[in-house]
Amino acid sequence: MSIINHAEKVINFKVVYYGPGVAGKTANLQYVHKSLPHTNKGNMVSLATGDDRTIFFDFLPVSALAVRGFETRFQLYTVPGQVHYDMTRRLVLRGVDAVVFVADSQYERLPENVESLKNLDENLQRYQSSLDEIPYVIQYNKRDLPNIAPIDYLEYLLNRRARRVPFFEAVAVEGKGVFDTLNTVSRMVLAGEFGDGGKGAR
Amino acid sequence: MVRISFERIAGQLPADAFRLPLDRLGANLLEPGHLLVPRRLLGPQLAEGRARVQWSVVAEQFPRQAVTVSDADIAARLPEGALTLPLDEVIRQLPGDAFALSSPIVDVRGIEDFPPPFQPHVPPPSEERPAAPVAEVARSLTIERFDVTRAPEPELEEPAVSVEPAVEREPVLERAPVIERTPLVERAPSFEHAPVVEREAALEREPAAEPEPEPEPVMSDTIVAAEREVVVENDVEGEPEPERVRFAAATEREAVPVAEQEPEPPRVSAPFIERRRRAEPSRVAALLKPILNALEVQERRVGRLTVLSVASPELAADAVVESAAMLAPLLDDRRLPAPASQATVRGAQGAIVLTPLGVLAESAPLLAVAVAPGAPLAYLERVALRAVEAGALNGRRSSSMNGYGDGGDDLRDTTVPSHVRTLGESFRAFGKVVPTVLQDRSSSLICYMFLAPGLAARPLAHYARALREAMRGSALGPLESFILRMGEDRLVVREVDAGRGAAALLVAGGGPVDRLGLARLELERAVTRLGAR
Amino acid sequence: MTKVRDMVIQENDATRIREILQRFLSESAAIEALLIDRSGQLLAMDGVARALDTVSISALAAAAFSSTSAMAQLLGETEFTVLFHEGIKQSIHVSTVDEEAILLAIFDERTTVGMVRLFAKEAGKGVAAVLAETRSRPKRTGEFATPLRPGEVRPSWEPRLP
Repeated sequence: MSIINHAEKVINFKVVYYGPGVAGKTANLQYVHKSLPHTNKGNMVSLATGDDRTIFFDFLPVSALAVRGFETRFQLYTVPGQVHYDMTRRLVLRGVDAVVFVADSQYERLPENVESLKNLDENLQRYQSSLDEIPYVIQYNKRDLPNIAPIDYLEYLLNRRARRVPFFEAVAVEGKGVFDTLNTVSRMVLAGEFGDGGKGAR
Repeated sequence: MVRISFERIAGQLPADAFRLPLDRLGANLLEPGHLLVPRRLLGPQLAEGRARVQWSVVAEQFPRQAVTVSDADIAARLPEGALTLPLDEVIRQLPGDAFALSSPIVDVRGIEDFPPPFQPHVPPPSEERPAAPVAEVARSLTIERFDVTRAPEPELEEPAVSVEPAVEREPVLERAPVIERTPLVERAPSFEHAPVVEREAALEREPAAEPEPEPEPVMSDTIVAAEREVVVENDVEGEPEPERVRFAAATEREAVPVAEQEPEPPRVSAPFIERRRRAEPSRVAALLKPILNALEVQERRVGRLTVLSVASPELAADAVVESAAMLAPLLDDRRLPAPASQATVRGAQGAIVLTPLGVLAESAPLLAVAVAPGAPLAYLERVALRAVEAGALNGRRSSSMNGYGDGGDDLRDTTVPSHVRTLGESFRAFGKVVPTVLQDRSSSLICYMFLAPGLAARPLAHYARALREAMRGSALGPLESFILRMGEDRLVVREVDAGRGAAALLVAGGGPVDRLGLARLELERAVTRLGAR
Repeated sequence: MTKVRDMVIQENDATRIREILQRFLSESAAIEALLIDRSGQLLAMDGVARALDTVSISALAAAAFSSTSAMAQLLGETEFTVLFHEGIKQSIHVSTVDEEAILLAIFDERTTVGMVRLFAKEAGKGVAAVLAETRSRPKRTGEFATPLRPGEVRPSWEPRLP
């Protein structure tokens, strides 16, 4: 849910990076954090275990554009990917405006990608939303590894709903595809909020 | 039929169920070296990212005499009675259009109205970058991206992506270079272009520098046109933007308790502002007159900043105004815990006391009083504050400023040496302080920080470094000391001569300081101790 | 869980909320009050605490509160309406405002948790009333409903002084 604050002249949006465990959600945020000038970002908060598995969420506020005099802020969150953290994922999804689904391109992880996407849809439905309604994009991460599925198969697996979404290839730990993904999903949110044909037009 | 290499699935078979070793078993299959699997069985599974086949389906392909147990037994020893097939082999054997999707990519029309908001910051090409992956993006900048620095803007690019999304599916996703988004040097009072410092009569125009448009479809032209439009507007109307003329205390909205909140002053037309402005210097002048000999309070505009300057004969008026304008952004910098109510800056060639007459970002003027090196300042500071009734500038910030500005990786946290820790413990006048040492990765600049608890060291180290850079080119000479007041709180930055050409800064405080004399002594001692090493 | 709706805070909403927070602070002697949406976003704040990373604090407070809420539900409670943590110098008190928002109070030895709790409850009701009004309005009050014109999209960080 976007929060428009006329007093502060700020609009806040929430974007959640979703996907199976160790797909690269945290790596996306880390790269964004490392690469943005300090005027465009806040502090990154990571609640993780000793071996860097997200336990609750990562959080990074970023901001770069002002629209109609309002600073547009995106609060980026990741969720913990392991199956047993479902309740936590649900909590983090609350109030989400857009999702980046980070998929692990490796063959051996494909069933988990499918499962995670289903899980995302189910959790969205608990908030009376769904993958049919919310803006989202898919990132096929780890394109640098040897045993990865081809894009057309991944698309078939994960992007064959009636409403297909933009997808990006990525190697998040090196930053490849990270900003493309973020820029597209944030613009989708902005387009939905402002302008012609957005939510506002309804 | 799909043919699967036996060796890829052999490991799943219970070896003791067969009389032959697995490699020979493979050679004796119906189709030697391969398992055959009906494609139709795999279809539904492929949609789930799996490919498995029940043992019962492939059992007959094995030489029956080599199988020692029943099929049911073997099935029982496989997870869910099935073999997991290597997906890559399966997929390779499907027709090219097996996964073709009929629906087009969702229409993301409308997003081209917005330029890509986020650009990674890339250091200037001359800097060396390690070949290692981005875990070590060494942004080894010595000059921060800061309003007043004159460093050339590095070109921003997105990191090279090896594969792009298929263009035919994504008409809107071009990675064209975009216009600079971060604070632009061009907008600062840029002294590479002649500083347009004029007297009261002529109203200021914005310096002519503009962001350079880079070749890009429609969007950038629109933005450039819009920005040009803004500048032109100022020229044409010849009127400053409507400003809050008041420069009394507590100009931040949130800072004022409700009961005392003043209504918004009415927007006034230009001539009135002008007159008011002219009246101002005489009041300040009158208060300061007893102190300074040659007293001339001048009003100058630099960009959108108005500087009321009082120079001494030793320091040229222009130099004072230039220094004030250059340092002004540092008074309201987001890295500070609160905006400054006053700053006293000592350089090698002179000292200046800067007192904002309100909120600078809302076009309040800046009072700049300069004196020769060594001249006493304390009384000046007090009088300046009194003169502008600025004593109650509140320490609170609006929520939009919190949480931003961690400064990045180019300052490295180092372990605090014991002598620094001891020094930190010895501070009394500043209250309890937390010693931190940060080192610039590229230059040898070290920041010794002794900050009040709760203050983030990194942004303030960046701030101190930016201050030092700003002073290097100023008429006041290189930085010697800098005292910033934020209401009751004080932040001090001192240059430390670490000998052998090494540079260091001492940053202390951030909280209230009640024993100023003691604070000064402790700082002197600290500077000496840190410099001696 | 009900559908989470977009929120619009007009200037007079913000003013009313701030008044309530200021009254809360002066009556309870807490040092900082943050009104936080349960999705982690800061809605309003007031207080004298210095240099807080309120953006991170809001995200964490909302997360902490919602995880204890979830725990409560697992225990058969509707929700724990209050969270209180005591530190050496400072303590925090988080309480429900309504289904969408929580109130975080930071306080120190100048007051007690009892005082904070007492006034937080009242403040919560007051704020809830304001928020209910914001929700009952139609969302588009004109500003964003029209197509974008050139120049309306700019970098959000322009230098404060040219």
